[in-house]
Amino acid sequence: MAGGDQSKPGDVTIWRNFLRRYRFTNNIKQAALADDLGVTQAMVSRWESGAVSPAAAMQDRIRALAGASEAMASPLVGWRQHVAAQPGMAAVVNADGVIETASRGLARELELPRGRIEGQGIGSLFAGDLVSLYNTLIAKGFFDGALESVESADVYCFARPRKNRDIGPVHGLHWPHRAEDNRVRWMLTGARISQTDFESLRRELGGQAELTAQD
Amino acid sequence: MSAPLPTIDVQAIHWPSVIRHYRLSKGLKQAALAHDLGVTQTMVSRWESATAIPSARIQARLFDLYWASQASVSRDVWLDRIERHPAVVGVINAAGRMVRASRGFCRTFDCDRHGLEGRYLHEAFEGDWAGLYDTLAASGLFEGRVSSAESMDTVTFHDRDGARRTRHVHGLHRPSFLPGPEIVWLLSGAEVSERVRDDVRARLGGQLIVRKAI
Repeated sequence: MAGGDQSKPGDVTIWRNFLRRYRFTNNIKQAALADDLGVTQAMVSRWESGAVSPAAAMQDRIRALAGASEAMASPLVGWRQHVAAQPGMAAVVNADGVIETASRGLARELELPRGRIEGQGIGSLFAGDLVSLYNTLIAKGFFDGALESVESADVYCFARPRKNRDIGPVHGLHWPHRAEDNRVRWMLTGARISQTDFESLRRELGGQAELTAQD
Repeated sequence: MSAPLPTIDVQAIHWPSVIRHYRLSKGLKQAALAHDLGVTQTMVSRWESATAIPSARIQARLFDLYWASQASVSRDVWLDRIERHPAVVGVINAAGRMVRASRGFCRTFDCDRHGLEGRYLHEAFEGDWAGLYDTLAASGLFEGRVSSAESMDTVTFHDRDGARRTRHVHGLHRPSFLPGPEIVWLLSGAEVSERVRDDVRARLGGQLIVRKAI
């Protein structure tokens, strides 16, 4: 692992080698690494050419990113990382209604970076159907493992109205996932649908949500 | 309940990759994995160096361990869930045949399940997916050599009635470990606009990123 002191001679070389090795062993492009770190691709390129070394705070971020990837080795094993990388709308929500993991697709639809979604409560981001769905799950013992799955037709509305738009009608499928701490998480998945599909789905489900009990 | 997956000739699974990858992603030493499987460390070492092949019982057990690390339900429940999934989700076998297609997959291409399931990807779609299948197969996805891949594809669906529909699909691709032992391709994705397609391509630095297993 590269040393942290920027004034140390050879530091630039250490970071250059570390970043290159990390990218090559994980087959990650400069642009993708830049995206993960929230910097420009040009910045990654400068670090890797040995022109400059990353600032102290960025060194911590790189360590966190590379360290995490070594601990998990790859997205092949690890359900949470699989959720985070989903192109569609997906999230891991805990029993308190807090979004622990948000997918790329959800971030795209909400037009918010993942960091501003994760850690937020359902009720602080959304109003309406998604909040009532959470309340239904609580009431029906979803987090105690009472349900096998839930299918829903929801209209996604932001809690704080935005000038441009709401997300609108979404077809959802939800199931419990028992995490490493043995507590149930809500696996939320969804896709936007047309108003016509939404109306027929509501008829099919007999309301906002159809619950399937665990046998 | 869903019909069983059709059986096909599976490409040989590359056990050194499968075992090493599982072990390292769980952060286990050879001795610890050997203990879990009830074998000696020497045996694990031989499997990983390709000087021995695990027995059928161990192969099944390794696939079960992989499964448990990905999902907390049985494979039957999982396949049933895929059928109802709102996003684009498909299961494709080593021969390139679509064995499951989600409701969202059908909705995206405006067809029913029979328009997709049982068909070959390169026959049902024109565009980037044929090349994607070739690349993933050549990279060893069905042998257990690929960890995951991400792609941004434009594809034209050929419906059985002759209609054609073009969509931009942002996809995430992973191996899934079924009994057999058989590795299938789990495609999950979402339809995106042209603007999003361009953003994703810029981030990927192209159409596709393949992350190899260790």
